[in-house]
Amino acid sequence: MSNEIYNIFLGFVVAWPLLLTIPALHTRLPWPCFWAIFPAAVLMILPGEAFVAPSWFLFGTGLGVNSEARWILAMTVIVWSMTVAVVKFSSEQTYNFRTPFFFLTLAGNLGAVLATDLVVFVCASTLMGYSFYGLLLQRRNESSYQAGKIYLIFLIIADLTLFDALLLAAFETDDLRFESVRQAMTSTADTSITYLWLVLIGFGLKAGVWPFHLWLIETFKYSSWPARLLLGSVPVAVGLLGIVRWAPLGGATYYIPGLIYQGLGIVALLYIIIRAFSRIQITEIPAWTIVAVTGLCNVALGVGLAYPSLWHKYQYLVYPLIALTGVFTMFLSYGLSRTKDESISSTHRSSLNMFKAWSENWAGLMQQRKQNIKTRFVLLWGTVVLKFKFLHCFQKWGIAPGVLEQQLQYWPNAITLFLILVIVVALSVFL
Amino acid sequence: MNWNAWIPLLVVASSLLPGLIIFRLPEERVRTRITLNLIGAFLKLVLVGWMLWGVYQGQHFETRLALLPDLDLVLRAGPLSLIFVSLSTVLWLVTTVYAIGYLENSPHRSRFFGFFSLCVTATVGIALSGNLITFLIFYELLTLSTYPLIVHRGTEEARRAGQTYLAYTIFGGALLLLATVWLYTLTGSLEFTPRGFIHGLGEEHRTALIIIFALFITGFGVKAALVPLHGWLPQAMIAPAPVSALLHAVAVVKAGAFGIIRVVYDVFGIESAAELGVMSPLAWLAAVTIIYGSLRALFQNDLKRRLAFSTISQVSYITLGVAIAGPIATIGGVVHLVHQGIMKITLFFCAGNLAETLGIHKISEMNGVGHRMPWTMAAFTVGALGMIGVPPIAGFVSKWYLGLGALEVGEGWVMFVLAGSSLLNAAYFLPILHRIWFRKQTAAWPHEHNFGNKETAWALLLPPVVTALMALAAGLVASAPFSPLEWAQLIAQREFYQP
Repeated sequence: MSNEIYNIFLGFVVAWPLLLTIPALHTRLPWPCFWAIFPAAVLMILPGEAFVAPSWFLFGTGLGVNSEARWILAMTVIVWSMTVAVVKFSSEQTYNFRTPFFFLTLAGNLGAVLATDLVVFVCASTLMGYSFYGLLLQRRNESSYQAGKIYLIFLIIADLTLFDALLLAAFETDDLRFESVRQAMTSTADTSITYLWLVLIGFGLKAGVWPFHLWLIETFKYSSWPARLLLGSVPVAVGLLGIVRWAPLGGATYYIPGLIYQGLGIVALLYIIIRAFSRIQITEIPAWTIVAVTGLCNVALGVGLAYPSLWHKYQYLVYPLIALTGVFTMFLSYGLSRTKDESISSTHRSSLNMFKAWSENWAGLMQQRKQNIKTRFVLLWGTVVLKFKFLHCFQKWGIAPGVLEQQLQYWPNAITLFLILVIVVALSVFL
Repeated sequence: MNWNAWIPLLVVASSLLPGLIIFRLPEERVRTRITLNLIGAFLKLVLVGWMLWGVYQGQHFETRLALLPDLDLVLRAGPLSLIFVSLSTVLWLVTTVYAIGYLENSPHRSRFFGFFSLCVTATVGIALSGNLITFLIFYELLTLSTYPLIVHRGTEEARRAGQTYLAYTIFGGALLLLATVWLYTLTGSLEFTPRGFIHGLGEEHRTALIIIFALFITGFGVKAALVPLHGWLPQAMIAPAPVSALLHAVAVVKAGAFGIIRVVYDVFGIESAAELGVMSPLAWLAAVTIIYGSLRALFQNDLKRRLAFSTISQVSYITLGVAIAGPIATIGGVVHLVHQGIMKITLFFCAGNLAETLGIHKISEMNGVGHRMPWTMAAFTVGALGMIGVPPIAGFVSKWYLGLGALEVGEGWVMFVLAGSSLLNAAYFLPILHRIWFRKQTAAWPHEHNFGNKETAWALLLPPVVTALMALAAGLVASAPFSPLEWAQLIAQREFYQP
């Protein structure tokens, strides 16, 4: 394939799902959801690298594919294909009102994966993020609306934070390709710290990294099948990908931020361990697993920030790991999801039944194991508390995260917290 | 014969003459009225296209007619005037099509379209003005031609809104006249000049110049709806939807914002204004207006009132961009003049469609309306997301340049104003989008009209879809030749870099 055709095809991979959003087109096409993914699947197996950046598009930004992007592209294709295969978004004959959101989310996801610069990444991930809201609300009940609202609040704050990061990057360099920004940020110490924190917070919110995980748990509990299956690969994996691509990793040494990030990762893991013995329901396990995985990623990224040499040595593992996270969480969600959702296609019922026995057995096994461990833990904790009376206060502290989560569900509280964050950042910048 | 000397006059006349003829037409001459309207709009489009091409090639377009001793009526096409003229011309065409559909079978259409044409004539005149006196003449013509449009319905509420509008705008106009006369006595010139014409005045006129600047900003601030001079705008929402669209996106508030741009760039000049120390207060005033407008919008249940407060907030981005006084912020401010117009007219068309087709006026009545009117609501979604600044829609480009411009000149606080405003925009637009797409219809539509199997009439549906696509295109192909962004860059280059 000649380079020009390859480049055009690259643009087509993202543009095709966008075109399919038009009802007149996707209602007339057999298996439109599969067709939407097809060009991406072809691109995944095509050899070589490609890059297209038309000067008239946005600010002269572009798309590209290389060996690193291929890992994430492969994950995207697998996860979306599995989702389409298992879940009936729309029958091929009848028009479903949610179908456009499916295509828009897919286009945004592919755009983010193939982005070669900050602007395309932010455009695509925003398209993906807002369209995904449509998938989250497929059940159209109050619980899913509430979960969607929390997701939206986090998304907006994340987008605003990333917009500021984008402006800082554009202020430092005219060339907004990932590598150029990384180099520019490495050479400007003052801006790069602010930029780094904005990136970590922005994508941390998008990926549901602890302590910004509230939306992840809520949406997983109350959203429909497609959203649950896509949760690990669409917002979470793209969020992690964003951190890896945007953050100036491997350049200057960011010892303190690295240390803080490692600390956050460890606290996240401890938090999940504590939660695991108290209030986690079996159907929430995939969501908490995602939080645990992102906690581990935090530790790894923190090490990378603090020790650039280690980052250089092991960075080739990052993209396969993100891809594996997406695929793994999708399988986990599928296996553990015991809800009989009306959106499951009857044509795929047989394939689902095959998994059902396995998942229910596994779920039952997990539930039994969890009860045993919980009983033992409670007994052990009771004995310890009897010995050391002062530990009573820790039991009270245990409910604090839950209370905080409840409070964040209210708009005024969320806005107030955001404004406090803005003031803190402002003071840190100006003082 | 030098045609270039007559083109600006022809551009003004292309809407003035059809307007004057339409006034004389009987109500039943529907086809003649539509034909005249459309011929005028297309002719203006062609003439403006010609001027755009010419100015791009470095040609000069200027009409100069003697008005008073030493004072001429000057119409001149430059990059700054053309960006406003192009916006008005394109949106006039679209609004005319919309108004034809909207006012079908309603009374007093000749009167309406006559004043409608006069209104656009005044706007184009303001844009092409080559000096302050020409500007003032067309500015007052705009006030007088929009008043009958606001009171078009003839109800008591409409009359009250019209009176408020007149009181505010005449007060503003009086201040402008005072400032213009005072400036003329000091400088002996009113000719718009790149980088201003007050350089020669010594330090002894400093106080007078500051007062003149304040008078200009207060005068223009009425139409630009700067807080606390914004009171007329939410009341004027009583007017029919095409008029609201015209007020918010094409004519009135834009004329005010454009006036501020002219005063800062071509009367005082950026450097002189900065030396006088008037730019920072202007920037803070704009910032307060941005946040205040957004906060007030949050609590409105009437859709058009929410959009009105949104306009108060959004138009001040233009003032903010100018007041930051840097080349990149100038691009942001000037390009927002166009982008805000396209996005806001889309939203008003959609609000008009809801009112006309289903009788919906309140946000609380909008549950599930996306299923009933998918194309209209898709256009509304694009407009609303663009207002928030979601990439890659037009609003994102404006906010990008404003933020970058603020960083360039070390005004970091603007970033927080932009972030806070975007957050508030999201808080008042996203719940609407949630209602229209995800909530189920809970009650019958208040007053549903039957359009067969179509969601609404073609003349009502086409304009918002076209403008929504324009808003999307303005962001996606922002760097393309002849895009608003490219013109804004030309203007910034003229203001800051050319010797």
